[in-house]
Amino acid sequence: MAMNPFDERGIPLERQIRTWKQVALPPYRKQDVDAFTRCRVILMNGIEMEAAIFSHAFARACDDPDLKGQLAALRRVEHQQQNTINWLNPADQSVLETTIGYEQVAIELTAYLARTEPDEYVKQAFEFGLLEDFDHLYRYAQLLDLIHGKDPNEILQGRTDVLPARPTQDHHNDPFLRVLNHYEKTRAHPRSKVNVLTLMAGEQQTMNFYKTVGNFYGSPEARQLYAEISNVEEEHVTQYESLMDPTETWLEKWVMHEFTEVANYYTCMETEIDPRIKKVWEIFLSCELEHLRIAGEMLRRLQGKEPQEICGTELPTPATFESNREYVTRVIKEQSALRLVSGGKWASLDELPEDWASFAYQRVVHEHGAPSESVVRLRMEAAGVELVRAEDPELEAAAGEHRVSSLDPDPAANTAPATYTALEPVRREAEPGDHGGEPRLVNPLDDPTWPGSAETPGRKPGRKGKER
Amino acid sequence: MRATELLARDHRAVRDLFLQFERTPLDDGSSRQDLFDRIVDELDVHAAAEEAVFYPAVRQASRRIDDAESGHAHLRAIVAEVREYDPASSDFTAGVRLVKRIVLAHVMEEEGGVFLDAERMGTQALERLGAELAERKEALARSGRRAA
Repeated sequence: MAMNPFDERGIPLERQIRTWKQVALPPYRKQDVDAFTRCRVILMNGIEMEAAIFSHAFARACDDPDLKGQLAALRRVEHQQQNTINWLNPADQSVLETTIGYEQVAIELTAYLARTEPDEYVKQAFEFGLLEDFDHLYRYAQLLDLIHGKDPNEILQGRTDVLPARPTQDHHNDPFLRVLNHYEKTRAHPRSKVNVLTLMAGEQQTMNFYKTVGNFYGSPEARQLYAEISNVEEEHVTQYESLMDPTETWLEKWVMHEFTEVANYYTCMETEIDPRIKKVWEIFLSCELEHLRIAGEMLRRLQGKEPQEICGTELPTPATFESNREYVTRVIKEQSALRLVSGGKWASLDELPEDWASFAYQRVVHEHGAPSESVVRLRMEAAGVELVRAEDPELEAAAGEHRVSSLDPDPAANTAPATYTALEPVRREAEPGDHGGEPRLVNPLDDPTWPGSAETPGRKPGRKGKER
Repeated sequence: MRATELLARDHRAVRDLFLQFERTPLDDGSSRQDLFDRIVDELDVHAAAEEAVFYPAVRQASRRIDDAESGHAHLRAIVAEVREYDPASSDFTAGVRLVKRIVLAHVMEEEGGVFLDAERMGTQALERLGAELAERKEALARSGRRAA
């Protein structure tokens, strides 16, 4: 299905602006949407979000009013595109249901891109990230069950397993370790450039989404889990953007963005099974073909380069959602114990030095426990077992053991045990809303002026539980 | 003066010349031609000094020099085309506007990329390069060299 986007003609820019009614299309029905249609909607929202963020950054570095105007004209259209796409998600789809969808995207997209990635180093970076997103799904699935009483398969439709991988509490790294080595723009395969940009865009939107919606739940466990995982997504954006060659010029980056958008819309259009949404992809592909032509023309006129020199002529198919189960399972088995070390490299857990930089970071953030572990423990307390869903029963049975064996030697204090029988029942004597005299918010720096601290003036210190 | 500062001053000077050009009435063909000649002279001296002194010295600190050089080549080709136009024509106006946009795109990449890379060389090296650049620019201006 190779297509040369430079041979195609898109919709002229002046005809790309739509009415508000055309922008805010009716959403899909969550009861009967295909899981991978939802994945495409979530991914393409992320792709357009990156388009907007990049274009604004470009405009701020640019002193050419004509170029700024062109960027603004394309942004106006892409803003509408993003509105249409993101608002295909229906109002009755809860934040946690959407979150499960985001993680399904992260897993299936990363796995597909890793499978098709020509650069071995980039592939390794993808596989490393894959196991982290895979574990996030498992953590959020516990929360979905606890808060909404829902099975994650209502969203995943059995296409993606729910199992622990590298434990989330181990995903927190020293910031410098997340900086990997970049490809070189003149030597990298265009597919690598598209893959990296696509995945970075997806992870960036996931980070923004969690950071924005984590407060929609009143439960402290939910809030803390969103805080913890959105922070890992920040690490993922750092990791993937560090793979890009920083010497790509702004105009080259612009062409690469438009090319990546074309590639993603094209894949969506080719693989979509919902005829109404397929039409959306088709129209937006036609818009993007024109955007690519405009960006390419600017590169040609202002830097004397042909856009094909940057991205080739053959369109990759990054937004392909299909089963990656076997591949993911193999990566879990082989790479759960991998960790980041300096120089953009990876090492096995047992090879880590005692003064591994990420231990220090983890000690700080986990001082009051890891929410990603608490949520598993809560599910065990509530239902007797952790929630796992796998096609392979052996894999499902070994989940807890695997989860604990791939932990750092220096785990957080509240690590949930490998099996639920090892769990000691927790007695809860306090009433709901009563924190047993403990301050609800704890300041990691023990600053007495921190809100919620016992010593904060104007607050009642050490309030005891009400007597019955 | 640091080489990067000297080159950034050149960038500002040529931008001012473009502004003057834009303020000159369309029917004042000779002033427009004179201003364009000054712009081209300024760009010629700047680019030739940069290529002879700055780029070779910075190449070890920056992977952006190939792009910078190909940017100069592209600029020279467009300038040569614009020179063929009648200064009162709309082609000439459009051509000068394109030259300005090419210069602005080049300046954006150079000041935001090459110059930052060059900072790794340290103040002393950059000041030495600055002196060398100033000398070369003066010699080029004296000889009235026109590369394009």
